Amino acid sequence: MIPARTTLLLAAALLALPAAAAPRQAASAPTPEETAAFLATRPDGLKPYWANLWAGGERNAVLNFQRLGLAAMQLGDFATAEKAFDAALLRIEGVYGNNRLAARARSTFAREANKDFKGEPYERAMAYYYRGLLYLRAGDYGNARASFKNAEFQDSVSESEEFQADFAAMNYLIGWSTRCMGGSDGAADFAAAARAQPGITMPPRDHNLLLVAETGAGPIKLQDGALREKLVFRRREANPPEQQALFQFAASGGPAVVAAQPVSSLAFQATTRGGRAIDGILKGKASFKATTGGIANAAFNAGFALMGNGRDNSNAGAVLAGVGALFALFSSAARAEADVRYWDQLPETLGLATTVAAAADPVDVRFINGDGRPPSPPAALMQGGDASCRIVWARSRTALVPGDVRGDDDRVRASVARRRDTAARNRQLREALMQM
Amino acid sequence: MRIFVTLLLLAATAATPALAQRRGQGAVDVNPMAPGPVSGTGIEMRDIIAMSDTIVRDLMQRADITGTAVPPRIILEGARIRNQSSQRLDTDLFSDQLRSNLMRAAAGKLRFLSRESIQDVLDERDRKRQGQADVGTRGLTKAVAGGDYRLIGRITSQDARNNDNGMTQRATQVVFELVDMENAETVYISQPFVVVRAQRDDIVYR
Repeated sequence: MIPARTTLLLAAALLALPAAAAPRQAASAPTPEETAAFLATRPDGLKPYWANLWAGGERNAVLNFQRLGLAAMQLGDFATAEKAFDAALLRIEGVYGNNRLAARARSTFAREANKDFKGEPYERAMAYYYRGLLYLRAGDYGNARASFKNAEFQDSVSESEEFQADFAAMNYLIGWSTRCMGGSDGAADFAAAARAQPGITMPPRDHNLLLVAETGAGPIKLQDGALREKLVFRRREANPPEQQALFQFAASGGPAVVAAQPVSSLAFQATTRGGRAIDGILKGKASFKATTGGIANAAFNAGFALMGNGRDNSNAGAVLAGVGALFALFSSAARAEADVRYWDQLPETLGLATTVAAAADPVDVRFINGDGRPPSPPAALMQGGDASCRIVWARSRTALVPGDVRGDDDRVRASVARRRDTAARNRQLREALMQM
Repeated sequence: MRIFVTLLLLAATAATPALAQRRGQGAVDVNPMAPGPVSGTGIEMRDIIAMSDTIVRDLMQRADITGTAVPPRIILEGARIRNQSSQRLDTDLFSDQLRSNLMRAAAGKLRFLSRESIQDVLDERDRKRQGQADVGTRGLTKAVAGGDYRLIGRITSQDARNNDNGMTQRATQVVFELVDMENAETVYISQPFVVVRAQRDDIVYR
């Protein structure tokens, strides 16, 4: 005979099993003192981006590292930019296995925004693109090429892909990096760029300077559809890109002015795969909701019809109506909303050109606006490489954007942050940030 | 009985994934020759060690290279290992492994030239000859040493993805060659090291 007290303890132990296995709510936010101490050592211009990273946790870490990296590039803090993009790419390349949040994001009853952000293919490609530019600046052409190859690959990995390898700028940059490595002229890669974007030509052999111009503001993400289950991309029509980017040189053998040729549009990259891709991950949720909703209606109707037929059928009718109610409950619990967090610093257009220039040639960049305003100077400018392979990169729009992650769902963010497993991961992230 | 129940309670509350994750994971030593807890589809340290080991064994068996009366001089630099793969790599990982293991195994049968230090060497030679530094203890030479062979390498890769299940696969190939720096002859080429790895995310990323 087991004593009553032992029985009680056993019962308590059994009750503790699921409670211990389930994630409990936990405070994961750092204290104001910890935050202040962390930010005290960061440069003023980058403090907002470090602060977002510090508070945003692993769920938004990729996006916040990307924002920090691009802001650092604009401010000329290339060491920070390299570390930030390396950290973002490490997470993009990482694989989730038995991850609780990944499981939640797959769940029909949790919002897609639960998952850690890795971005759409065009956003992942751009993270590799910026890392590649930083490698070109440092003269590490092998790793620059590897980065651009990954950028091109990311652009072609969405489900049911139809537009394989159509990111012409990446093909062009692979070709340029190949040439910079020596031993090959990169003809195959320039040809691939020309197939994706007719009009692109292979740079002459004596060209030693790559000019990269980013104009306009990149696409934004919105929810669409009856269940807000559809992810759509929109160009910022009210804020069109600059018409032309001109690189002006103090003449020393090459042409005085070189115009960048628009090569790739990010809105095009997003929309040629975005619509189909969203069907891949969200179709199940949307279909489930539509299907269960249909079953619920059918069960309700059949159940009430049977109940109205008399006493013999009323029990069966009640059961069917109950089944209908159950499916209706499942249907209302399904969370199909698309995740619309997006990288808000991206440009709309990538322009490229090459020329001949001596290492000492100063370069001046002007962006021509289509509305009659005078040409504007670049918001960001980076130069580097070596005498045989120089690079000048310029942006028309500032990357120093204010605020936190665009498109984030505050309720999901708060809910995820309260989870105890999230708190542990975020604490580890903050410990890693303190070492950066 | 009470002890049993207490142990049961402890086991119930401690041995759960949630608690294990909450505690985090401290640093652990990982065998460099075994797959670690974090693995990807690309080249890993264990691959580099295995390649280096094979090349050392190959060269030690070549009497025409390591059995000559005068040890040949070899130039080996990370910059001459071309990374044409889609994996971002520090090629010094390869050159440092090779140089270190070859020097130790050859025990004087091979000599290595540090072209990475050439500018430092030239500067020091200038200082000695201009009287800013004495001649040292090893005497002066007419010129810096010339190389007999250069060990070069190439890393290439091919990526593939299954769009039905999201599985990604990367095939990486690494080949090293020893080139005679007088007549351009390739006197040794390693077996192609081929690594093919595949992985799939636990979550769909479009």
